[in-house]
Amino acid sequence: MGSITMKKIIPLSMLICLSGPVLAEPSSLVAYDKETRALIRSGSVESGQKLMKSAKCKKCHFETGISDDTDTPNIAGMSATYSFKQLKDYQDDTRSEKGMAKAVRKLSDQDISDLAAYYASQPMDKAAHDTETVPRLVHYGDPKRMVRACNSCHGQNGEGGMYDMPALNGQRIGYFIATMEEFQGDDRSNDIYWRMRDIAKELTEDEIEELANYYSAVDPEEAAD
Amino acid sequence: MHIDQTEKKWIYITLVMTVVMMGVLTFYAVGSNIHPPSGFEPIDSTRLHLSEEFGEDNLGLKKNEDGSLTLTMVAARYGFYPSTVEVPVQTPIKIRIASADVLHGVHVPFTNFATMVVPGYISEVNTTFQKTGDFTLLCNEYCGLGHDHMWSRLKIVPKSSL
Repeated sequence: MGSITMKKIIPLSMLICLSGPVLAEPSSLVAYDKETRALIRSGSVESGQKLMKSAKCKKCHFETGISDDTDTPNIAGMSATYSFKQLKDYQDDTRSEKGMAKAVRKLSDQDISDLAAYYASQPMDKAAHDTETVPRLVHYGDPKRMVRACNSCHGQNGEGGMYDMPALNGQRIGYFIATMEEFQGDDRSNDIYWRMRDIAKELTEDEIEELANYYSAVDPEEAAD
Repeated sequence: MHIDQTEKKWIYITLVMTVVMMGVLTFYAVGSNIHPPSGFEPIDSTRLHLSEEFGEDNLGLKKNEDGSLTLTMVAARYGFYPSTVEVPVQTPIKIRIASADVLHGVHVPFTNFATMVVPGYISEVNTTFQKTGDFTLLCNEYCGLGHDHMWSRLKIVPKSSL
């Protein structure tokens, strides 16, 4: 009996060895194919509004999508395609954050689409930036370091780009800096094809702070003082 | 119908130019076997990162079982990925590149590597880089607001260093 088992085990292990290296999981399981685009378009603002209250989104992000905490992202006016992908990534564990993973665990694809539609319909927070002192990286990037201009993907005024390129304007400063640090350390890797990781790794601490100050909304804690 | 003499002259000139250009295209297509990129190998661009060949782990330069080299890349707004690739000089390389979104064109100045990257299809180019050095991959098909920032780096290194 034992020898039969071994005969089965050995060819199986050989097969595994010969099948080559096991590829890691993709950085995101979301693909903007025809079905996904139709699902995102079907998102209902009304249903999203109801769900936002019952799913406790409003506890941190408020009904407006504008938080009062510097580390909680502002999601008001974020494109539905971007929010949909992030929520799915939390669900698929391709983006890690305990609280969010728990919050989205039981949501259906339609629920996620509705929530994305609701927060996309909310007016974005205003950036506190001074348009006379635009960081050079915003418009020009740094070709020597292969750093692309921020506005090439995130919109001419930081209003967001296509599909998974988020708006930066009106973001919370703490969240902005923490996110860039996550990309630098590969702690966040759901940017398909290293698009943000490659850039973040080239940026200095000062540059990240300068960009965060430029794009971010007024810090709620500073505003309260 | 009256056509002004100057206008008539320009009509003839443009007709001659068109015929000459068609002739040049035919000459190189038939005489030198230069043709549109690759052999119409389709792929779903929207699901490119989920495919095996163009998954993140599979990109870059790889040695095949027969010892030949294949460089697999993705063109996506706004860059060619991996962002930096190293290839050996004077070694035949098969380059396979696909778009994750819209129409791109990849061009490496001072080499003979250039091809269109049409969404939905894999572009394949066989080439041998002749000189060592750092070169830039550029996009030469307008692909959106960040088109002029779409570049990546190609390092052509001595054979011994790879």
